[in-house]
Amino acid sequence: MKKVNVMIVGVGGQGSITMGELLKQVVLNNKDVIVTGTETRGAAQREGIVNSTIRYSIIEPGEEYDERKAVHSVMIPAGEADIYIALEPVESMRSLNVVSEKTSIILNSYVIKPMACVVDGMAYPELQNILNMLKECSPDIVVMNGNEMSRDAFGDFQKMNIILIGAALATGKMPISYEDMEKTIRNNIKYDLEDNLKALKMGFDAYSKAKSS
Amino acid sequence: MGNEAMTRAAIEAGVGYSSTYPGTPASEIGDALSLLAKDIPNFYFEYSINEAAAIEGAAGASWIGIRSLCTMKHVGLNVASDALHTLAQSGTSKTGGLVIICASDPGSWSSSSEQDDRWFAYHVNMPILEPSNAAEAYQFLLKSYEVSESYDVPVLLYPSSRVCHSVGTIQLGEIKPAREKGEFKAAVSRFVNAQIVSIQNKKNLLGKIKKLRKKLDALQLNRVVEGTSTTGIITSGTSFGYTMEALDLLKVYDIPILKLGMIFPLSPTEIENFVKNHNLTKLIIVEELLGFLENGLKEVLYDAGIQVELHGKDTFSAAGELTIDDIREGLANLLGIELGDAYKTIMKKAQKGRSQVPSREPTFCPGCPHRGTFYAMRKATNRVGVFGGDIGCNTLGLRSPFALVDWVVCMGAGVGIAQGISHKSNQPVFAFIGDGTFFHAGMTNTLNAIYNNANMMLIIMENHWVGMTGHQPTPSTGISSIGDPVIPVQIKDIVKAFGAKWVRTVDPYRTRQLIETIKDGMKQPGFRVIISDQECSVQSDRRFKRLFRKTGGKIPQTFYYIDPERCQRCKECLQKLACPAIMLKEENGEEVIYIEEPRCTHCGVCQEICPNAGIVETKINIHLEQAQE
Amino acid sequence: MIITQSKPFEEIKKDLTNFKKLIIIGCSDCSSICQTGGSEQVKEMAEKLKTEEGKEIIATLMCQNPCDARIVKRDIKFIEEELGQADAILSMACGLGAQDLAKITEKTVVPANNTRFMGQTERLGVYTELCCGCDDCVLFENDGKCPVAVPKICNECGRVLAWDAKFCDQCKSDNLKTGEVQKIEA
Repeated sequence: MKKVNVMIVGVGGQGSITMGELLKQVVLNNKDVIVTGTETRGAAQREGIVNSTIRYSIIEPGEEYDERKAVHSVMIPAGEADIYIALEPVESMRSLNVVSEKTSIILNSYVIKPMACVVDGMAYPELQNILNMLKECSPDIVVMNGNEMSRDAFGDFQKMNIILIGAALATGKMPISYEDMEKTIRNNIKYDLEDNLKALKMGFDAYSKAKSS
Repeated sequence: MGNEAMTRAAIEAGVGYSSTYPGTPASEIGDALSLLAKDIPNFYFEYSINEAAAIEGAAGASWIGIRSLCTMKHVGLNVASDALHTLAQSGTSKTGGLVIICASDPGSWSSSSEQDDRWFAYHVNMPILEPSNAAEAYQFLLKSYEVSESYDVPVLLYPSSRVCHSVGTIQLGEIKPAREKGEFKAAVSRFVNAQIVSIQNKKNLLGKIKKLRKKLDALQLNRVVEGTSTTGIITSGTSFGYTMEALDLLKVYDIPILKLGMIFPLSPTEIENFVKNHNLTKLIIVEELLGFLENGLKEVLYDAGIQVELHGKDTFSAAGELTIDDIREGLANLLGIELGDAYKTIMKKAQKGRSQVPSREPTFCPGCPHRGTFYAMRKATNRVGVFGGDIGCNTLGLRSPFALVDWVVCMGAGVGIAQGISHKSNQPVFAFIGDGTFFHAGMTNTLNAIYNNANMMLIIMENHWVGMTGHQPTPSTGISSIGDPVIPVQIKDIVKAFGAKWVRTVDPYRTRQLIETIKDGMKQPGFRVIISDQECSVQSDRRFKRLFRKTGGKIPQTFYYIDPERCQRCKECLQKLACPAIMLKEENGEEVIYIEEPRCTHCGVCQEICPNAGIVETKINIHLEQAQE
Repeated sequence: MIITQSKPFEEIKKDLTNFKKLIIIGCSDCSSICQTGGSEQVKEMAEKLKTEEGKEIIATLMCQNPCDARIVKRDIKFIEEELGQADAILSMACGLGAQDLAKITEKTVVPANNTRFMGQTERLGVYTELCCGCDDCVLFENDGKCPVAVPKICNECGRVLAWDAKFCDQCKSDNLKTGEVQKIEA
């Protein structure tokens, strides 16, 4: 049984729950993939920390289900994340327990300063320091500013989530084809369909480009 | 989602009555039922005003033969417990099982505490089922009705937040139709709990639990994962899943595991058999929170005269959420397995990462009327006095820069505790409460305070929704439990009827006016009420966005802009109002404070409070009528 | 603040004769307070011009300070598209705002208001020109009351003269009386 673990960390309101839901929706009709995962909901959402986990189990053909080796929990064990999507730089530092050399890190570099910095004067770490810390945990990092990419192309931040899903798709690690994701977007997103599909491609291409350079 | 799975199970079970008070992590169950209520034949749903009303209503329906469901979060059980303790003695009915879904919050991520509700089982004598994932939550809810009706007892289904919000797949079953009506048949010896009747009912209840204990196996709620080792594990709920994965990560595959689905009562035979059949010399109990299972198991083992090396709370913490890594470490320790350098390095780096970054505490959303209220209170009182906090979005007033909450205990305890202090202190006393909380628990405390002439000020923050849990309607919303328009209740009439003499209603977006009103109130004697009345900005902004899309943008709009030349960098808006939509950047060596337009909900409070006329308002399309939704 | 008064509607109507597609721009500051160009006045004007004169109101905008060019430049971005289609702008600001709008939008601006004076407000509708902007404030020497804003009137021909005039520059008489500061009463 192949397991693929995805973790999304971000600030409440950034859409980590929406992203988590989409990444689960897309495999619901796929007979060979079981998915589980969770999101932090409730009090945490009010501009606090909101995380999403998506855990895929891919059943190999002819494989028998072995309970003792299967995925049971919604949490990702230490170092087991295959993809780690951080929607905000400081948030990327809080869940590094799931990151190891095998993790593909995607960092959205748009900064949302917490109140501790804005009001209480705590220093927001330098982006380079954050990147250095991330590199210590895994050599595989791609950085992009999904918010600015969304604003430049569409006038607002709404498409940031889809851009980053596109980037995650481009890692090739998830049991999801590009077409599957497009289909799920068509079925689940009610507004600006064309823009969302463009955003998916934008993220996919940006990640692929960053990797090849 | 687990909550959705349980909702589906309730519908399939033919539940005819459902009541809830919103509470994370159970809120989504009520929300789903509210949306579906009109489409399910003979289905009654209500958002109750608190868990006492919810459980009592559900019990009534159960007694007249209607399957009933009552859902709440863990602390809600405290409020329901007064009724529950006694009505459990009266039982349910043959066709009207009563199931209570009580969702726990280990780690207290969305609560004032992480209380362990399993202990209610001993107090109430009520069976508890604990599912370990979404699919089991679905199955167990269906089973719960069987148990409730076969044994004539209310049953508690106890999913944790990780179950409620986890994703899984279920096979849909047939939907059993709900009963339309029932009839109450008088039975004094069953329902009138007093003196001898009460004692007899209690004896009956104890007998039912004893019977259930003997016939537990038939329910097939517990199972064994076979293994040959003489070390065994007993566990339940999410801990089961984590244990399985932890053992896989430690490469240990021979430990037999008894997974309990019904955690009260325990079946002595089942447990004795588990220990004896596997020749266990060592038993590890993996559970979260206080050692409820450990306690029960020790009792069973002692009575059976079985001696084993037992571990549980000595290894797995009784406080905080148990993560998969906590369980891995605990088991590694108990099984004598090295964790390995790779693991230790990862955990060290994670710790380093966490320590390097500032905390991110939740705060009010952009445009939240509570921000205006707390800002005004801070300005008016200058933080002099005692400030009682309550539960809900208004609790966030404890955060910087307001820090205007001196305690958080439970629903209604803001005014509840404040009134006590006001009678024996000379300090100015204030309390905050939201409208949902006011209806839940604040009304009685307010009446108490007025009746006993407490000298203090209560600020009722009326944002017309139960906000923190996902915007459920409350009597001040103007929408019923199933989405129909109703006349909203006027809080000012309630407090006046209670006898409050000084009552003012102000829109917190008119912050300067609110500051003046508060200062005015501070000079008055007696129990004063300020109703800070403005709709939750998440709801008003959602409505605006819907209208915007529907009309292609042809609706009146307002924008705010910080003029960088007029702005004098006093940082009142950035640091004292601290709206998340207001940000600071460096441009050409200069500080520029600006409004991040995509985050702004255009409430206008920043413009109100700017001392330098630095924030400019622009309105467009004011000649266009607001389209009806 | 700058005190404005609404022009008679007949006059506005006449000035707008050749213009059909209109943008109405109000002022959230002085004209709002004077109630000659606030949001309610803009809405009423839009309604009136639409129903009575068959005009097409393609946009309305409330500008905080139309007399501040930087704000005007930013605000008109919100109605860029409509500006391209408009025949004229009806300004409900003061003369400063009207001219700013004309210069920046390069469109025909029809003023809906007459600008009176810099006025002190006693209450809405009661304004007094206590100061006329003489650039040499003598309040201290005059017990806090400005003499410069108080005109002299020629008794012979009625001409309004400066505060320190000794004779009438029109009829050359020296028979002058002290007048009243400009005032508007509700």
